[in-house]
Amino acid sequence: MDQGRISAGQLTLLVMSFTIGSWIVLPTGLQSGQNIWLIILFGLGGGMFFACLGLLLYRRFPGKNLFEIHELVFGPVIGKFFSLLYLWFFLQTGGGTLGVFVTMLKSTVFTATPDLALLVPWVIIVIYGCRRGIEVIARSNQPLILATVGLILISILLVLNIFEADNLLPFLDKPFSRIAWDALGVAVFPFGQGVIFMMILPRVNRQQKVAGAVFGGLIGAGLVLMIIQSLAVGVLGKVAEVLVFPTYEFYRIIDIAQVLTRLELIPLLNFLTMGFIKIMLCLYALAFGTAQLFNLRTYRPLAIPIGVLLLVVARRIFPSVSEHMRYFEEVQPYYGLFFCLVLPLITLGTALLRGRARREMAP
Amino acid sequence: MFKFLWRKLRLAHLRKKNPLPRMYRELSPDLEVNLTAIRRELGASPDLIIRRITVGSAPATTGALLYIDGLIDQQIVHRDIISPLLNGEKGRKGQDSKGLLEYLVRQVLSVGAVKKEPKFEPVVQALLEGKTVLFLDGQAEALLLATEGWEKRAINEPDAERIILGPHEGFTENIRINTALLRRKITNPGLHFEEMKLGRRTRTTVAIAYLKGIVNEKLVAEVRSRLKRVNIDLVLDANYLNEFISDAPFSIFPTVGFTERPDVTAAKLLEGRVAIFVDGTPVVSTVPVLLVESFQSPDDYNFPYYYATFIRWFRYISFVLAVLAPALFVALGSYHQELIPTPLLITIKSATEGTPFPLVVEMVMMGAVFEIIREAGVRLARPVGQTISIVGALVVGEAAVTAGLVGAPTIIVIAITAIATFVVPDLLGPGIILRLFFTILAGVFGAYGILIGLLFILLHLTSLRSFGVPYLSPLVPLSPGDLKDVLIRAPIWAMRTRPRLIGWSQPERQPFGFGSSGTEEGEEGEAEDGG
Amino acid sequence: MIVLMILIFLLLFLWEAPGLMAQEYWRELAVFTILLIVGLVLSLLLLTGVKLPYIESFWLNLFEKIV
Repeated sequence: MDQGRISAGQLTLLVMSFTIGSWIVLPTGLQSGQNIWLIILFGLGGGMFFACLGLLLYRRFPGKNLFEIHELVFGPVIGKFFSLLYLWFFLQTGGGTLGVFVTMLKSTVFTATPDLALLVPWVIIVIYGCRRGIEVIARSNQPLILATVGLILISILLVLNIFEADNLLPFLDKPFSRIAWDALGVAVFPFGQGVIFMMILPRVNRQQKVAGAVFGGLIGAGLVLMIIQSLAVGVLGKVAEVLVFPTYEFYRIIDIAQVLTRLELIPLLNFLTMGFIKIMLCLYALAFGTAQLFNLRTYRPLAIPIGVLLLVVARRIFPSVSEHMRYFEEVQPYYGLFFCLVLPLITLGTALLRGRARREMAP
Repeated sequence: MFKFLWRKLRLAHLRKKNPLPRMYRELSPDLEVNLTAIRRELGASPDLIIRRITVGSAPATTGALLYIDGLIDQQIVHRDIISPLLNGEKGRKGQDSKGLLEYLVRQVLSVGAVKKEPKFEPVVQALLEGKTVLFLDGQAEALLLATEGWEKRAINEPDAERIILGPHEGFTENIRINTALLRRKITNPGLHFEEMKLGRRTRTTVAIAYLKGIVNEKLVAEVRSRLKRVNIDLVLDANYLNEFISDAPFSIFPTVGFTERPDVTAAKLLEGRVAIFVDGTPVVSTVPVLLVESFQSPDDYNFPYYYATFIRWFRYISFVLAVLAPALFVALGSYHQELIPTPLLITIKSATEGTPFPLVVEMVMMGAVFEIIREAGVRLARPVGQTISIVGALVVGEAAVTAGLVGAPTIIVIAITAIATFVVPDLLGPGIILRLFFTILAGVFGAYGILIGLLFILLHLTSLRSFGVPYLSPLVPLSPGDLKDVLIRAPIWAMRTRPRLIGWSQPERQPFGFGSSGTEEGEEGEAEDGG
Repeated sequence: MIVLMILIFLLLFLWEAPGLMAQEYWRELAVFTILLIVGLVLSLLLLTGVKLPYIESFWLNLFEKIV
């Protein structure tokens, strides 16, 4: 299928980009205001737990991706059914990112451009990258994530004159249940969506480094997100809770000597590049997974029709951003938990049981 | 789509595949038969000279000398072949005809390289390469005598790669002179040449050059096998082969490097690359090639490192400017005017007031006009060409602005872009195509189009390889140690390793530092600059 | 508009199919075609203004009914 190999370092960067993905402009859990960094920390913890689960599963079946593991554990029929569920999850993740992407562009810079004019070229290059294989995706990710992290670090300097540390206080003023719920939301999205990497782990060239690479990526992404959202809260204060794109808004305020203005292009660029990688990875996992589902020899031709499907899904994912936020608030935690906790747990449990049964029968 | 096209082309080709039969006929012992055969093969070409001679006196053997007039050195033929054969041969006694050839080679002919050849086709080939052929009656073998000598161009500085300091010699059209120029740069027994004949009909000499011990043997084998697979009618220039052996034949980026300079070739060989010489052209290909090499100039290594670093960054900026300036101007001017500071916007607006075309059309139009002027300047005789450029650029630009057809800012952007394009001559072609691509994208989608284009180019570049080495390395995948010759031009004494992905079989150039103890490192001691 | 859409999809098919046929990748061709037809149908539905459910709204409604 795809002979490409990526290094552990590239996997780390991919995990980072994927996690930063669309969340960088559309953070959930910002209702918790100044506690945001704590929530991201908790979310990161949750994400690490999900990652542990996935990696445990992967260690039992080294060199196999998620869909192969399903078939090994449940047999071809049920296994394929489980894989199908995940395909749907990937489709919704990718479509959702694409949907946010259009909404974001439409409501900021490209107000007059029709949706399709934004979507179609984007999907075309995503398909192009997907067909080139994981190696190209991982490599082109390298400069993009470097640029993103660099820009975010620079923005720390840029907001120094408008950053008010008082905005980050009082600390822990919300009820704990509220914080826990928000943290769960963050754990599931964006960290939990990393379950998609179960499709890519076998492509890493040094398998013993896989776990470290995934954790490194998650922690790196967590740090980046913590920095940028703390900046947003620190600059905007209470206002951050009601804005749709707080990251974008706080860059708008930056004005240094009337020379460095209109810096909202920075978060836009960050989001576009990171979202690009995220959508490309989703499409890759989708095409690769579908090809595996039907025992095909190559996934490349599938990139085109699945890209089209992604486009359709992006058009019908949510009617408005507020609906999208409500979805994240009410449904996504359960929905995500099902895919990054429940299903892997079932798979792991069954694998353990069957393994034990086999061992008991063997002697 | 290109893959598909490629497949189609290949299928069509395979169906018609018709290998030329190669038959090697034996020479006949009869002199007249051989001469008739040669005449039939070469036709009535007046430059074929057949000089009949009689060798010896007891018994006298008739024979013939054949050569192509103009390809041989008359002096050698007269002094070292004809005159000894006619005069110095009188004293021979009792030689049987069998040992005659051997005797002539050992005691009579004073030519350097001599070869006996029993087959017909190689004899004809040798004749065409400028050798003199000696047939003797009763001998089924011919003597091939090395007498090549023809008019050559003198060694001058290559026009395409000018430098300020450093060696000013360039390769010429003669492969022997070129290999000699390289040997003059690298006095090392490890410098090996492998020759082959390519071009089914032109039979052009092609040589692979590499430095044994530094080059990766697999790379040499790969180059060899790719060249062997080339099945082409004629080879007139290095590019004839480059398009065959390139990794990405449909990419606009060059995946085979080229230079006309012996010093650059030497530096590349010392980094572990392979050079391909083609007879008849001063252009030498080097593989593998990286994108960053296009931004390096020999002058970088001939000037102090701080200045070279500075200039190199200007080269990067120029290329970005050359590719993106018109696109950015179009995007800002027609879609994102709010991003331009107000005073500047007012200036631009007042200058473009009343121009009839949209900005993107202006830009593409003036870009096309500039390309026409440039092409005319290149093709015409040199003095006329310069006139054309000046008249074209000044008059047309000025007239277009005063007539109100295009805005003055457009002309400024085009002019800056045009000059910036020439800063990186290796990427002239890709630069022009990318500029058009980005301008049109910007015209249709604005800044979004530029971003789309950039991501597309990034994906394309990361997927390219040149003989197994990622095209964007050492940037992507990152190898920090090699950035010493990319982001900066480190001092020569600090560049102690070869590029990691190319010269890994012998990574160390020299010990770090100013090299007072250099004598122990005899063989690898020479501090060659990186290409 | 509908004709244009069908034309685009036909173009996509022609882009990919000959290569697959040349390599005798029949299964791949089948899956590709089916997915492409699904995409075409959905696009046509979108184009003709049929109210396909919004995915996230669908889940929201479902959850509200359950809770």
